[in-house]
Amino acid sequence: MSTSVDAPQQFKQPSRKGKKAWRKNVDVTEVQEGLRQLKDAEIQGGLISEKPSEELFILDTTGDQQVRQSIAKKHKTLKADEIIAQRSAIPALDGRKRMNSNITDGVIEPKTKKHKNDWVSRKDYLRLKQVAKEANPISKKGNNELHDPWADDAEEPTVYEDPRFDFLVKPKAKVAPETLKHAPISLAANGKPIPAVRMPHAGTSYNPVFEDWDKLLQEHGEQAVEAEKKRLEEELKEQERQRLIAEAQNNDGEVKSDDESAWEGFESEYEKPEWLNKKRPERKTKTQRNKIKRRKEAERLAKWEEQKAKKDAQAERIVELTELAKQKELERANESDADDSEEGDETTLRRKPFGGKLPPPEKPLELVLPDELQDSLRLLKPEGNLLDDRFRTLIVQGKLESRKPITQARKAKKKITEKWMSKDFKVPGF
Amino acid sequence: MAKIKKKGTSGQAKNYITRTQAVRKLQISLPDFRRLCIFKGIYPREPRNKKKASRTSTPNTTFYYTKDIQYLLHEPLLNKFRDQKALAKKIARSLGRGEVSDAARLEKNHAPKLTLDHVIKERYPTFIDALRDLDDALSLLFLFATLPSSDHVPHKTIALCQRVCHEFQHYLITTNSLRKSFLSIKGIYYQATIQGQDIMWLVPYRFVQRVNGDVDYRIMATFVDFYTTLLSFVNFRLYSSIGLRYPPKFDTRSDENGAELAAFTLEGRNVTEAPKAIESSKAKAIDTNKEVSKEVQAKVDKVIKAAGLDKTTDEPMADATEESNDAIDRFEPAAPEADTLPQPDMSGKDAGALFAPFTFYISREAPKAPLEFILRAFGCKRVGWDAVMGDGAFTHDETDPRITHQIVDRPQLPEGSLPPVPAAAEGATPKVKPGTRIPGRTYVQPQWVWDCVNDGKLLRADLYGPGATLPPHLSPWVKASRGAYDPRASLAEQEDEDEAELAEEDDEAEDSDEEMEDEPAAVEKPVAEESEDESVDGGMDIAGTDDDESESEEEDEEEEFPGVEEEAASESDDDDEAARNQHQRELEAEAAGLPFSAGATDESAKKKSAKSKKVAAKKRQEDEELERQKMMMSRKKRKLLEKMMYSNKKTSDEAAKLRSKRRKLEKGEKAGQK
Repeated sequence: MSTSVDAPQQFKQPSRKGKKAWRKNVDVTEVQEGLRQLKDAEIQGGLISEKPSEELFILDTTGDQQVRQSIAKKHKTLKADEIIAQRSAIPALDGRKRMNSNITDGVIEPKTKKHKNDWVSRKDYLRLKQVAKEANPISKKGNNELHDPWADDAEEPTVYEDPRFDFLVKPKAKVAPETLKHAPISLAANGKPIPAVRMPHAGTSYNPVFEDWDKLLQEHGEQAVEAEKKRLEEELKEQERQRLIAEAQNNDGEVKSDDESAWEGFESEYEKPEWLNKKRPERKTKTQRNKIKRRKEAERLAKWEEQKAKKDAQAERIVELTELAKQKELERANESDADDSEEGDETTLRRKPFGGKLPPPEKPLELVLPDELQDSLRLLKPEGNLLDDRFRTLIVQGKLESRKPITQARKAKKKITEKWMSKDFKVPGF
Repeated sequence: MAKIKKKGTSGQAKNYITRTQAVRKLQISLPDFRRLCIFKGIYPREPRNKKKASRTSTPNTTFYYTKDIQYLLHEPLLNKFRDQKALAKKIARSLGRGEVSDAARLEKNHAPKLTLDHVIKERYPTFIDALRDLDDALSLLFLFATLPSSDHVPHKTIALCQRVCHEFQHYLITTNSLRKSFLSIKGIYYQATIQGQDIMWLVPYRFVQRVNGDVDYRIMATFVDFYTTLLSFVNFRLYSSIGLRYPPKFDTRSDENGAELAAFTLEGRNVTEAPKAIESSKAKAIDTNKEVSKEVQAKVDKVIKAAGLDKTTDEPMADATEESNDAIDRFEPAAPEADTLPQPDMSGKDAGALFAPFTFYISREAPKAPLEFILRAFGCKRVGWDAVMGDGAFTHDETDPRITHQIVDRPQLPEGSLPPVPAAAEGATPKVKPGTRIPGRTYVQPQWVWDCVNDGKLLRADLYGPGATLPPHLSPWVKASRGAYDPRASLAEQEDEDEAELAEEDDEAEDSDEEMEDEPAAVEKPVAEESEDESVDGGMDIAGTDDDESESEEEDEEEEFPGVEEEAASESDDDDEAARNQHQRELEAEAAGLPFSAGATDESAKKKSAKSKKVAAKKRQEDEELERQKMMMSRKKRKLLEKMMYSNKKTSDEAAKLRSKRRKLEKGEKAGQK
């Protein structure tokens, strides 16, 4: 076929005038040539371009043995090349030299120590020091093998019993003592176990019923007043004590000179302190003794009379009193009835905690005061500290001994001595 | 002669061991001994006589059972502690020699692994035992999950606590086993029922925990260690019991974005979280191209609507109504004097259906974490919140029409006092001016959710509207005992038979007294009838009262006695005033020259006395009966009965006082309405 792709044109067309430009004089030799070739092809057995490729080609999978031999004879490869040619599909390692890398060629030492593969950073070093000090190295490979410890199918490892050693005494099984199961000793005053989470009092709601809250407030208020009274009393006592001490220190038997009068121009006589003026007790006479004896007897009698009168009066209204006593008893029974429940009260603790120097920490006030009472959750100011609360609960449950954390460890005592090296000298001449 | 017994070889001296002796015996340091005791559950003991138990003169000794300590010698953990000590020595030596890399290698390869698995199994032989002791564990772990990280409390511990806690919450959500919750001033109490065990724990409010120096963090860290192990095992068991894979898939990135509960994806047999998935894909689409125009968004919405995805709100509604039919029977006391039995809590199905049909939106100021947990635990599948509160919401768009309830906790502010809302950026979620109400949804304060949960039913939302004065939040665990005042129940349900009438009569008497002064002639009234009517009204809730009738009667009353109202409003019913009135009347009568006893008070007084006489007679009879019965009892039983009666009387007196207060209030209200 022709290679031209232009439109069919006339024979050479120098001009468009005249008969030569007519259509019937168009040059169709190319088309005719093509038709002739098609005819020839059909004669030879069909058009090649329309035949399926299976008829045209066959796949030579074996190759020509002769050709191969001839080529091998012509270019003979070396054995080394043959070996080298067996390349992996995986790309080779990069052989470049890197400036900042932990990877070295293993021959030349890296320039800085940080490139050593066993380099330990400063942070790690400090951590190691800490670990060594606290003696608690723990493997960081997480222990995340989760399983069900309560599963039924946890079979006991069967121990192989060697018949050769059946004369040996079998080791005893480790039996947990009974005491391990004993509940911890609660610190509650009534000795009942204290629950981990107490049922909240109705008055501790963030938006409580007034009565409940008021009851709680009254209760805490009374306690606070009691505590304050006690504190004031203590304070007074302490003041008194301090005063006495100060007094005792001031007049330690010394004579006070009368400064005031000295300033005024006249000096008083030598003054003895009061306690020096005190006379020594003198011997009592017989009459005096008898007198005292009589008085004592009379006093005793009067006392007895008084007591008797009291008793008689009581005997008169015995019915009333028994009623009163009954009432009181009921009241008390009722009080104790309040903790008939299983739970111990964590606010009232027994007087003496076991072990440890410190009493368990005080329970802080958990109450919204009247001026902070809010009815919106947004405005609520939470009371109490739950962290302290948890710690305290553990202590009052009896699981821990109460203790204060050591914030600063006690340092070893220093003993200062004088060195005698410079003083213990000998004068050579003597 | 018998052999002389040596001192200190038997009895208390043998049974108890001091702490120092124990530490020496086990050859470990004191901190290690403390840890071991915490892990193994060995507690300090108290001998009956300290002097006999030890020969030391210090009074502050802590004692342990010798057998316990002896048993500790077998403990594998003890060997681990010793290994640690040995390794620490090696590390110290290497460091001292300057062989830092050696030290690092030793620490890396030879550090012993502490596992508490066997301890868990030993201390809690059955799973139920572990569940029983979960109170303490949950409280501590939830507390540590909210602590700020410091050098005492490393962030890793906190993250671990958060993870196990969230996993546990997910279990409660899937099984709907949360039962009650209470907002206290300390924190939020929760109660769940797992396999018949009631578990209660306390979760602090966010951002209020101070870390102070009174707490020994080493000890607390030991407890946290132990409890995290315990809770992860418990979680494992719980998850596998409902066919879920443990641990659930944890998305670190969304956790960093504050997704909390939503950072976990449960995988297992029967997990369907269809609405969640849809929403998350949508949210992702929004995240990826934030410049998506509004039109596109609208189109997407339309497509979703066309596909019927938003109809999910309607379908569960029908389900819920179906489910609510099969409820557990409640124990109704057969006779009025019978014991009231503890009512069964609602079942998981009920709990799961409570909020199921709704879509919630949590405003910025409401506490998101507890609300989300509670809502989801009670069946709500679609909870949305503001974008500032973190990832994982159903929707961040406040204007979303699917939202049925919005939880708000801000005060009502007058219009115009707020700054104008900045114009929303193109494509961002549209901002809503604070304080505006979007029609078609219910606005409630957070307390509504808690009260609904505790009551087990949906309460009136209008009582909990924004800015409304909330009804008090009651503790679900304080059950009113018999005879005590219960603010939840109506007055009619709890008062005695004659109480209301008697009270009414008292009032009547006073009323009539007052009227006496102006118009003593107009006292012909059907007292009994009237009082009955009043008592019924006081009850408010009793069915079968015809409103019209009672109203008309009330109107009649009004016409007849204009003084009643005044009286009720003023509430001046003090005794001394009554006495004063009496005196006044006497004087008046005297001035008029009439005998006072023939006054108009006579009638009502007679009626009253008749009634009270009847009551008194009845009471006397009962007393006599009781007295006779008491005679037959043994002394012990009689004492017990007396005790019981005393306390009962105390509570009932108190309750009566409160009831009378309430009656007065209600009456006042009614008068106000008139």
